[in-house]
Amino acid sequence: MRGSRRARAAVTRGRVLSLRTRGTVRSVLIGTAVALVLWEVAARILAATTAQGDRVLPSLTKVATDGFLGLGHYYKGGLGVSVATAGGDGSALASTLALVENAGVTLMRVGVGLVLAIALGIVLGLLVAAVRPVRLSVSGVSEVLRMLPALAMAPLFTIWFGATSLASVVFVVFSVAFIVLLATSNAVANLRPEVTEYPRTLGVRGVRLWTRVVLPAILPEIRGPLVFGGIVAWASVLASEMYGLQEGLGYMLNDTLRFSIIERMVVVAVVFSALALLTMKLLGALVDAVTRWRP
Amino acid sequence: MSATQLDTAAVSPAVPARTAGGRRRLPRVGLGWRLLGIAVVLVAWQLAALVVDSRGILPSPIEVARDFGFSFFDDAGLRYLGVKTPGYLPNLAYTIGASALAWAIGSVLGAVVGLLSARIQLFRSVSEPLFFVFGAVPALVLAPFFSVWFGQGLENKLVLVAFYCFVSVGLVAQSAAQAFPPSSEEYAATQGLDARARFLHVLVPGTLPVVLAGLRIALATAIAVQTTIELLGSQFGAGRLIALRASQGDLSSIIGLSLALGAIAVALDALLRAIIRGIVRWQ
Repeated sequence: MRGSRRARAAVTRGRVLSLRTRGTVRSVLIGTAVALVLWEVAARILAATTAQGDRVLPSLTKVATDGFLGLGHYYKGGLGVSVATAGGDGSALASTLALVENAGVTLMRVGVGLVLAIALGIVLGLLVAAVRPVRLSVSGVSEVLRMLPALAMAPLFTIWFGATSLASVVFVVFSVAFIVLLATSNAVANLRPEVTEYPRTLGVRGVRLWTRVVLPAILPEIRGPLVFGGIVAWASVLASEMYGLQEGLGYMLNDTLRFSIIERMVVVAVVFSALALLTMKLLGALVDAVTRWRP
Repeated sequence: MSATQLDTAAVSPAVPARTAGGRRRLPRVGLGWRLLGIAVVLVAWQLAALVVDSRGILPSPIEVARDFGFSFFDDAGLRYLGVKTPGYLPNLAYTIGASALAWAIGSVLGAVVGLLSARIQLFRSVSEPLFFVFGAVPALVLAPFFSVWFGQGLENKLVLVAFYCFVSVGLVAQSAAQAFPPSSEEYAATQGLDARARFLHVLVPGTLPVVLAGLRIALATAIAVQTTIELLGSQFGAGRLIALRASQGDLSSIIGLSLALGAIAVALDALLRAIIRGIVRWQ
């Protein structure tokens, strides 16, 4: 009797702590809005109290005007509009073209690198997974590679391949392929035996078994690593572009950093982050679409 | 590299299997094959270096090891370039020490906020933008801002590395708490445990193995982010030396320092895994 009363009281009290919380888009939007408001307030306070305040933390208005319009000189005339027509610094057209042109270059490097890395990683991962000793041997190497500060190795690729797009693409492949390879071979190792045994009894063997059965079966498990590979690809291309390349969002970010022009850095960083987040979402959606047969 | 790193191998709690006698045994399955894999890579690298026959393009592992040993305690070249601590050892120690400090601060905060965010909606709403918007921004994008705002000293790196560790461990802790069976907490409630007691005595121990395993991801993240930030501007650290050597085109030093950081990270990871195994022995 006494125990039952205690239990009822506990359950009543327990309502203050829910058993599960939920993440909502609204909370993300509100959180981002609060961060922007805090930025603006801090910028205004800093500008009012110090001489160089607006250079250290520019207001959002300054970011949207000076920051954006100051990017015009990064346009090199590659989009069919001549540099003279675009107008250079201070022109909204030139700034837009500069962002589009450089974002396009970076996007191309990420896209090519990511596709090659995923293709290479999956093919090698399947080959490696087929032979257990090879899988164990590769896992030893990848365990060491996982711990390397990969981004710090970006200068190596610039030295090997010059300050070219090739250096960026190869660096992206180097950074991402191992993640995909390891995830693929692990996913194959984790497959339940009946997934491959049942098709074998129906006569499905060899390459057909790997492409028609094993590959679709492991896709849900490698979804996370593929999305993570998207983030790593963007981080890698940024590191690569910051070392000597003369085009791309990484180059723009590094160049604005050299002169500590924060308002321009913010614009480039926002475009870069938006594209990186979009890639993550796209990769996730792509895998979801391919694996829509999942319950 | 972003901190929202997904590494299922590292998150899986490192719990060794039991032998028939009840004693725990270390997971040595395939250790020989793993070592063989590393040996094969080293031999292939040595052969490739012999074929290329140019230190400026591909130094051999032996040359890398020799150069690394030569500059380990002191290096006249680095001294000439104005490096105040011109040996690899003090700079590696600085990078690892700063990473460890930031990792400890960020991980503790991340574990607490991650667990609370899975049970208190207010914490979830506040942490959501931190985890999924700002935490998803690559460290190299935020690093230049921190460099301008906080200078090139220890503070900017400490804040940034701690933030990425916070996100990394926070996400793992939140997922672990969300996946924790509700029946355990419901049963505890019927036994008279209030919300606070359920959190402290049921949820925290119940999710501890996964959260501790999440610390391993954060450790690798901390060292990688710290080194990367040092590349952009620092007075000390292995990242600063890599940047200097890169400007000289010294491949051997870049490879040597990167491998040394990787080797230290692997050793610290093994140590952490052993500590975690001791803590969750009850599991």
